[in-house]
Amino acid sequence: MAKKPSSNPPQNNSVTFVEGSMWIPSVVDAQKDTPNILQKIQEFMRFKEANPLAQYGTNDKPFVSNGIYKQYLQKAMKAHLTPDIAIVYELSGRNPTVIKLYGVFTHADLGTGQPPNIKIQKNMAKRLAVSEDDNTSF
Amino acid sequence: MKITEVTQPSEQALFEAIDANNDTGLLTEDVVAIIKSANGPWSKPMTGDEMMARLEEAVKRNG
Repeated sequence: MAKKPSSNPPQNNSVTFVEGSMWIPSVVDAQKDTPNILQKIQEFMRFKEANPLAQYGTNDKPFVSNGIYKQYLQKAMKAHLTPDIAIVYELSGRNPTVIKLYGVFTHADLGTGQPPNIKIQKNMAKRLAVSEDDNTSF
Repeated sequence: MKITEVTQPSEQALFEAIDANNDTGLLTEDVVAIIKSANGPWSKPMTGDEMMARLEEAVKRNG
């Protein structure tokens, strides 16, 4: 006997977004070096609204897999928005799915491209200064 | 010693532990900030359009 179609057909998975305390400041900061960051974020959100489980590019992966981070960020994911900017987010639930947005961040191993990333260069300068102090203390 | 002192390392200890093992590709200061923000607070749920409107307003205000 054929199955009677359900009177309540399944609806598309509804997706909403929530922001953490770093979200807005990180976007405002990233926008200074990457003017098209809002467009990239919008593309990411549209993509995840359509299918939250699908990978946004090949670099959409768990933020951490093992080691010290696992105890803190078990479900967080990281996806590239541009070659040197990544978004950190977390999926929660299924229909509805809530996507927690942590922030957008620059890759630490980049920063010397065009235009150069001032934040990374300042950070590297700080580290070099510390290491110089360490070397001169002997 | 309080229980929180045992279960939650100080910010400096956390930074050093992350920095020694940071293979995330992000700056250690950003990773520490992400970890700290993980426990909230989180905003109310928004649609993608609502989130974009909020971002555009924030960028305009701080731009």
